[in-house]
Amino acid sequence: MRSPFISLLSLSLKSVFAIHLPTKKELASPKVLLKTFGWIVLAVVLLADFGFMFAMMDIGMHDTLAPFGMQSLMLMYATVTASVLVFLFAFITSLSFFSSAPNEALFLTMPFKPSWLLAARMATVYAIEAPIAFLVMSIAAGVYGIKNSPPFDFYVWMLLNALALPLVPLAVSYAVLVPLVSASRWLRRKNTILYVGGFIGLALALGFNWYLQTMMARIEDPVLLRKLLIDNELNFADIANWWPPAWLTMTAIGNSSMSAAFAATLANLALGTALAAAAATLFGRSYTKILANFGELAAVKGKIGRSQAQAVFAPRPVFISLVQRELHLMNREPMYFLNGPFVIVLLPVILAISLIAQGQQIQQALQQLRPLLDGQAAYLIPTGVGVFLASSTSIACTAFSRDAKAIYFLKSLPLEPRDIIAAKLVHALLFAALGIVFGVVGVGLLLGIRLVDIAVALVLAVLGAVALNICGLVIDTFWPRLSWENPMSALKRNPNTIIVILGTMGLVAGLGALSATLPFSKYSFALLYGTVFLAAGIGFGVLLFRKGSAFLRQMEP
Amino acid sequence: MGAPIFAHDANAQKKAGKLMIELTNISKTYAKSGTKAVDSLTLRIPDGAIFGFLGPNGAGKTTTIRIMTGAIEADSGSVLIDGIDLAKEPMEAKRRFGLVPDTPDLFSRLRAYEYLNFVADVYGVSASDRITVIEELAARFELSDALKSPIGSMSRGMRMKLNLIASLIHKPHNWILDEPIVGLDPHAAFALKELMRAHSASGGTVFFSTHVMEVAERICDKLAIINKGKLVFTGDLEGLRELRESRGRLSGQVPLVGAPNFSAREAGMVNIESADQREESLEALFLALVEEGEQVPEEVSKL
Repeated sequence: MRSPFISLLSLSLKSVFAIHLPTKKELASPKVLLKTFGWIVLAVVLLADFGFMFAMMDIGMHDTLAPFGMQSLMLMYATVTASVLVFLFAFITSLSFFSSAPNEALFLTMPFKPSWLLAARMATVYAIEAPIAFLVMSIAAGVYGIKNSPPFDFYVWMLLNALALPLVPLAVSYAVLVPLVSASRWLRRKNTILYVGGFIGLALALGFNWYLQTMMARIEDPVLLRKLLIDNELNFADIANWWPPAWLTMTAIGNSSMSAAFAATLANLALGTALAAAAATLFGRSYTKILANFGELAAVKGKIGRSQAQAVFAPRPVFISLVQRELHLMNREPMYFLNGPFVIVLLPVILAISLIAQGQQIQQALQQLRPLLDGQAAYLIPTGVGVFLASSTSIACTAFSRDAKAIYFLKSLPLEPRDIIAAKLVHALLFAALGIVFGVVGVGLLLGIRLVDIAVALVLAVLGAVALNICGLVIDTFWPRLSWENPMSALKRNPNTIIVILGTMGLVAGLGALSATLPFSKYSFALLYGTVFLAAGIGFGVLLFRKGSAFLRQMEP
Repeated sequence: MGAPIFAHDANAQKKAGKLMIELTNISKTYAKSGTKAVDSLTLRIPDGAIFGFLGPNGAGKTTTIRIMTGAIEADSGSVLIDGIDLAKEPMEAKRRFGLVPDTPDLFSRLRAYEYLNFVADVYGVSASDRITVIEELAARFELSDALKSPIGSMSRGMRMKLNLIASLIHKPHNWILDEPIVGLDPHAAFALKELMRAHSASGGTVFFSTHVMEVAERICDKLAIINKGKLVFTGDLEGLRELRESRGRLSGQVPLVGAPNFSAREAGMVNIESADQREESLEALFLALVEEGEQVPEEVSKL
């Protein structure tokens, strides 16, 4: 019989990493086969994307430093990067997991020690952090290994220390968060955690973006690089010396003595494990109190008086009511808001950060772009950005998936299916309009584009965004994801989201390439793309409103 | 000031005796699982009746209600609401009933009053009428203080009460409720039973599914029992007892205490003769009938 702690641990891990691998029998279905293939491709692309980014950084840094015999600084850079990344991930993941406290509270009725409950949760966070450290360190080990042929044990110390790096951040995160959440009633609410976690996560993503841009800008300049790594007031070497897990890692991989390397690695693993165990033991009881006292949404007391009632209960046209329902349900759910409409704000902020971080390079790139702006690029670039922003909110392509819990009830109401569909489309187009304004006008002003080209871009972006949003809604009406327990599955983990975002990126890139090769006059492209977008919009619209009602009637979550 | 709740009674009384909800030969197999949830089900629910729909878990109660309300399409058969074909005139048919769904947490991000307003808008209820219904029912279910609260902050019982109010906001003739008692406190359960009686007394139809045999026994005029998608009984309690007697099952075993979700074999059993020859309760009859499974179609057709 398995010990209760192992069962708890297994359940905690399974509840987060609930990956269903299809059986041989299931793979016989072409749909399942295609879906599985799609997920594998996506996973490989994502891994390769991050892997490529780190590999390029490591190679660039190594080649810049090698002529001065300082290539081992690249390993220090990788160690510090992995340490900082896992710290940030540990903190943000630990914080986010508090939002599942109402579900976890069920365990309080079972004979588990408080420290077990916290340890199981910490193990789940570790399972998310460890691959990050492993990825960063193994790429650095690979790059260094290829170029310097170190002994075999170098790889062993690199990878074992990669597993040790996430432990201390994990312990520290919970040592900070448990007292903080215990002390604050405000933080013991699901909405607060989701918003705070979401915004910190976005800030960290932006910070990471800034960091990458900054590194990229300095990587080929040995003087700048040396400053960053060693000479600046706050540099990588200081962090490596000051942060024990990083220092122990550097000691292990930089030591020629195998016994010393072994001792440092062992110390790193022991330190991390001991601190994590201590955190679970010390804060276990407080953690269970958080689980027991976690509130979801705050109830609002107070009657609606007669005088208020007339205004509050004033009738509205059904369609307005439907659109308002869509707006409320999407924008009041933090998971939906942050990954949906908020993207319209987030992407321009990321762009702005890139501009600031890579100031000189971007200025140079803009200078190189300038001659192109006399041609079709003047309106096609803002169009591309506007169309992408307008289609990146995932509102249309998850419209029915998000509504899965209410589909049966909605269908029992005297509502025309076409009205339900139209309300979802209007909701998506309202935010698409915002995306178009941000994208077209923002880029137009940034590039100093003439008013006439901005006007052309606006028209094209509207036509493109309408077509793509209708297309997204067609996809989610015909193939909605209706079985889910967590709102994240309806939006973030919904294949329809990935299809539409990647499809839009592909379309924008494809049309960009086409525009650069076709020998048309400047505004011929506007005419061509405008016609195509219009035809696509009409085509998808006819499909949506002709067939959508039948699909809605047949939806069975 | 709007008209009082159940103001439909004058017209409805005139129509007394007319079949207000009629399901004919309904069948439904779920495409994903291949499960036949409802099999050739025929039900006639008369005006002014409180009709209980009973069955064990997975028997097909919720599927039947979903078909009856247009939430899912049957593979075959027809549904008439007040004589209106649901498939041909869905909008008109859907205006004739109010539904309390089995899952009360539909729109957790809306505030209670926003949800009620949405439903009222859908049914085109005037401001004065919606205010009257909401004020009266919110007071009856002790929800007046919570109307500004997000639905997500409410307990399951409070959400059920909210759905009860929403289902009556347009004063429907037919009131369809899927497991309405679950999660309600005793006070609210009592208020609900009173409302059901008032609705029926005013000529309206109440159709509800439940696991709580005691409730069904106390307030139902008619009942139907479904098991494995098939109707195994329709009629009244007396008819059910007669059926049992006519089939010579009094020597059989019936449970002593309520265990409606378990089979008769799983529940604690006593011999009916040794149980002080007490009158068979609905619960006992229900369990015995469900145990028999599909062996009684000829009796069903007689009732």
